[in-house]
Amino acid sequence: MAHFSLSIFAFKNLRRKPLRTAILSLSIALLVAVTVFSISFVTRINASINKATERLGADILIVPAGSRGAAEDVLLESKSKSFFMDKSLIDKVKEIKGIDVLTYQTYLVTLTGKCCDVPDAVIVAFDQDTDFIIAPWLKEKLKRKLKKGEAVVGSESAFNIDVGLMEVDSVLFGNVFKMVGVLDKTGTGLDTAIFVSDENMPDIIKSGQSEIKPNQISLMFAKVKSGYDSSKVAGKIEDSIIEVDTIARKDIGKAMIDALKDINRIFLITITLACILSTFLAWSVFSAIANERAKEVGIMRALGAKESHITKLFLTEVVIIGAIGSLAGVAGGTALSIVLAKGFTILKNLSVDLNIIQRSIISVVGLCAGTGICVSGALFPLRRLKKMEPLSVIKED
Amino acid sequence: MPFIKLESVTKTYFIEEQKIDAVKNLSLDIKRGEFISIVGHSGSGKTTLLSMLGGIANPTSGAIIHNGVNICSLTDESLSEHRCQKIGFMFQFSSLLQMLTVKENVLVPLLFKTEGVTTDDLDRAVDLLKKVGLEDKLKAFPSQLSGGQQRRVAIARSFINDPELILADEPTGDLDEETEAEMMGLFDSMNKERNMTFVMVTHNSDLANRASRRFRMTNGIIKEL
Ligand SMILES: Nc1ncnc2c1ncn2[C@@H]1O[C@H](COP(=O)(O)OP(=O)(O)OP(=O)(O)O)[C@@H](O)[C@H]1O
Ligand SMILES: [Mg+2]
Repeated sequence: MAHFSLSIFAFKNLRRKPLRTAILSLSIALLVAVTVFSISFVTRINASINKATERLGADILIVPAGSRGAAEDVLLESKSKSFFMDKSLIDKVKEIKGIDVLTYQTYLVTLTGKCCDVPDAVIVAFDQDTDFIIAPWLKEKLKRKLKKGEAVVGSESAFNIDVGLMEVDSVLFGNVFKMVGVLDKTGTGLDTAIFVSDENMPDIIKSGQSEIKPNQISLMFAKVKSGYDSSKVAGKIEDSIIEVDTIARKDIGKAMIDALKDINRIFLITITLACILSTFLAWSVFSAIANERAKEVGIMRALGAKESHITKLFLTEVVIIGAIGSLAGVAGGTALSIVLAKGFTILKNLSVDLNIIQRSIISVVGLCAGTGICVSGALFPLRRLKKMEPLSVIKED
Repeated sequence: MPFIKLESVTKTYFIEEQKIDAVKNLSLDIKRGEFISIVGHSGSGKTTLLSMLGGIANPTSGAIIHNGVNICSLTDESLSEHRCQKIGFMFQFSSLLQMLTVKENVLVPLLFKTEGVTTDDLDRAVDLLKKVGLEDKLKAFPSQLSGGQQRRVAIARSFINDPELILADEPTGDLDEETEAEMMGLFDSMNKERNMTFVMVTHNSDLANRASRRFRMTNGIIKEL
């Protein structure tokens, strides 16, 4: 049992000038908070895109020329947007070598009080014969195909529309639909959508309440045959059909990430500046501490302390200050990322939240960064302290 | 072989262009268990000599052989170990650590031993503080003590590692006569019973006269009296 040790001594030293120590800790905390928040933000967006891509299960998205961003907005961010292309393009795409299966969907935007009696949402009409996107989701819930006049709603829309236990009827574009179920959360932007079978399209068009014209669809999803590279096939589609743009699997979310580049840059600059400032602050605080304690260190050296003892004594204190600040920063940054998530439109619409493991890794990164900066600010003062000749400082008063 | 042998030790300081020989070409043999006193005017080089003997200042030239080892050529690490195990310092200047209690201050030299502070050490610290009459101040901080009390804590501290060489720089400077006598009694018993070698600087000729060998320093030069 340690009655008295260098560590206990270091703890006692912490109590000197508590205000100065607190300010340093606080600045480390701010730095770590910004870092943790930024990493959480970026990680969350990437995770959301990955999850959505995986759940969509398509290798290539084929959208009307110029509608890449709009398609990603709908599929990743739950925005209500519509875009159309001619249905005849399906056959053209099918002819491209390497395409295995192909399905299409049509997106209609509802307008509350105009066409429909549901809040703003995207109505997704999908072709049940070729579909491979919605079917797996339906299978988990409904265990059968949708009939004409039936609709299911995405998990996020459920409470808006009030379905769940009971079946309710809603009017969509002049047609009455029976809401027969709610899908589980998928992590895609379609969690806010309402799904109907493609068979209903003629009736919807007939009602004249939607902007869509006959023989139009919004986008196609394709899987490529094994042995084919989805990016190359996507390129080929774009080259041969000028009316469409494509997004290969690995590029899904690219438009969104590109749009975030500036935010990322701001994060990076902020973090870099905060790091530099904190290092300087740590350096000046520890320089002051080194000056104040020169005589003490001289005495300890005279009483038999090795340089390594001084290092241990000093660094224990430094690490404690850094760790306290970093812990506070991790807590603050995590809280901020949870609270602000509700304020950032871009995050609000992302369905994936970070799991415990991701949050832990980010926390460890934050802890190491904060403590590391504290330690690096202390290195020079410590070196100077270790190298002083004991006699010359002992005489100081 | 003498316990400690100083061979033409010189310590030169430079202030601007001016050269100051604080200790000049000093040779001296010290036997184990001796009690040596040094008197001399202010600035004559006494503290400088003691510092070199204890390995906290390096001679400009010459050698200090302690038990056959030239401490001037030791690495910083070995020299620290040497101080930790063999030397007890009573500094001329106040030298307690302000953040630590009296008892902890006495224990400080043991922090630097490999085995650290043991339960036995705690008892020994209390025992030593009793010997210097401060058993009722164990938990006090240095700032709560008088100058003479602080001085006595430093005295207790110098004995805690059971050193073979005590370097005492005006150890009774701010003590009253009675306490001074008690401290001298303690020194004597440490010297006789534990065979500690003492080198003591003092301005008090009565104290100096109690030593087994007496020296006077003048301008960096030592002369036996
Ligand atoms: N760091 C230093 N730089 C320059 N000169 C020094 C230094 N330390 C001591 N001196 C000089 O060396 C000489 C001897 O100093 P020292 O401290 O050994 O004297 P002392 O005999 O202990 O005096 P006192 O009785 O006043 O304590 C003095 O002239 C002093 O000015
Ligand atoms: Mg002196």
